[in-house]
Amino acid sequence: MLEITHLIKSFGTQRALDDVSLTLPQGQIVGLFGANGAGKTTLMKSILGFHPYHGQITLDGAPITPKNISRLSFATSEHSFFPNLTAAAHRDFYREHFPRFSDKRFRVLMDFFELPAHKPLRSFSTGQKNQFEVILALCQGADYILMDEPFAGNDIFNREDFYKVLLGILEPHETVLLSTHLIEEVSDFIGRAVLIRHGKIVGDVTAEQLEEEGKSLTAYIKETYHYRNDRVLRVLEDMSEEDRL
Amino acid sequence: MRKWLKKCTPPGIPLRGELSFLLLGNLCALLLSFGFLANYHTARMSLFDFIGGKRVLIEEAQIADFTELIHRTLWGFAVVALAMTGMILYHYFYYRQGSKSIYLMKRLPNPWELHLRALALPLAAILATVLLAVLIRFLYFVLYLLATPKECLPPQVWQQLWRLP
Repeated sequence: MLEITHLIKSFGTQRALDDVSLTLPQGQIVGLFGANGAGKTTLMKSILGFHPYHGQITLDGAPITPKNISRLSFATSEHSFFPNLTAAAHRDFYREHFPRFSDKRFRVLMDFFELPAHKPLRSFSTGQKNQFEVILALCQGADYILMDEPFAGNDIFNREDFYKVLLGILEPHETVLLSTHLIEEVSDFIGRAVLIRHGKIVGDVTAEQLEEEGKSLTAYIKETYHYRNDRVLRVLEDMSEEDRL
Repeated sequence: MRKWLKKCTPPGIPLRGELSFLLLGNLCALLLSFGFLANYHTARMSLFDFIGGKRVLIEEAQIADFTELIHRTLWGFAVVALAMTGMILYHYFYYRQGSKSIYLMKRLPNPWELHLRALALPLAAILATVLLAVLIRFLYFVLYLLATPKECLPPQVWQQLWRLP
């Protein structure tokens, strides 16, 4: 279980994460939602130890150190692969450093996305780069797979294919924490939604709870975020009034 | 060797370019060190007089100090070593070029991998450059000792081997 307790992270005087507490048991697909700058990326980077922070983050009760870091993998829209290496060279690098790396899964996913194994990553299209970034995260052999906007730049067909594959290949012990803006698209395949706003967790709901309440994920997010439907209309009205004057 | 080099440098870095830079740098430093030979030749010639077309050793003539003759001719090696520190910075910066592979390096189970791959080649290159400079200084000293008439060598000449000017 990944447990985050009273996590505080500040950049200068700005508080990016404000007393965040969250528990991620194994075997869940969790959507992490929030506006730009809400703290989603900072939360993931804090879990991975990229940022110093106050509070506690533990994995099955133990702090995250080089001893257990391989139980976490990370796919980011910034990409964390080596642009000059080929896909095959990445496989070798991962094999060497992550003993639980899944060759079989790698082969299957490479074939599925029809990615070339012997071309340097820098020659891939943005969509292919995203796919490969996600493939590496899925094949590392981690129990917790953190994905930060992994599909930015992929077309809809690509993304849908990916969701299906993800559901098909995940083992029961694998947890995915997926940060994305594509709420509608992922609503059918996530089991839980966590909402973050101004560095605070403002909502945490399971798919079952939403189903019981008869609410869609989008409606829940809008409600929790106090989204005003008339916002755009009001701005347009204000503008046309100013024009008339 | 190539496999070892690949394991000790950032993945995907143009290794050939770095090795060429290192070899070229040391070659330039070596060429610059030939300045000692020119200095030595001039100093040795000043020990002699030419009388009637014959070369005659000047009485009580003494050759210039070794440290004086070698002064600045090995600086090229220092420049190469300094450039290697720049290579260290470049290696760390490499993980932020074109992608953020620094994220992968930072979450490897071996926490030293990032530093090993950034530091190993430049530090090995610095060591090799220093050793080359030491070897060349030693060879030049041997030349200075053997090619200079014994009576023209300064007193306590061996002390000059490692003395700085």
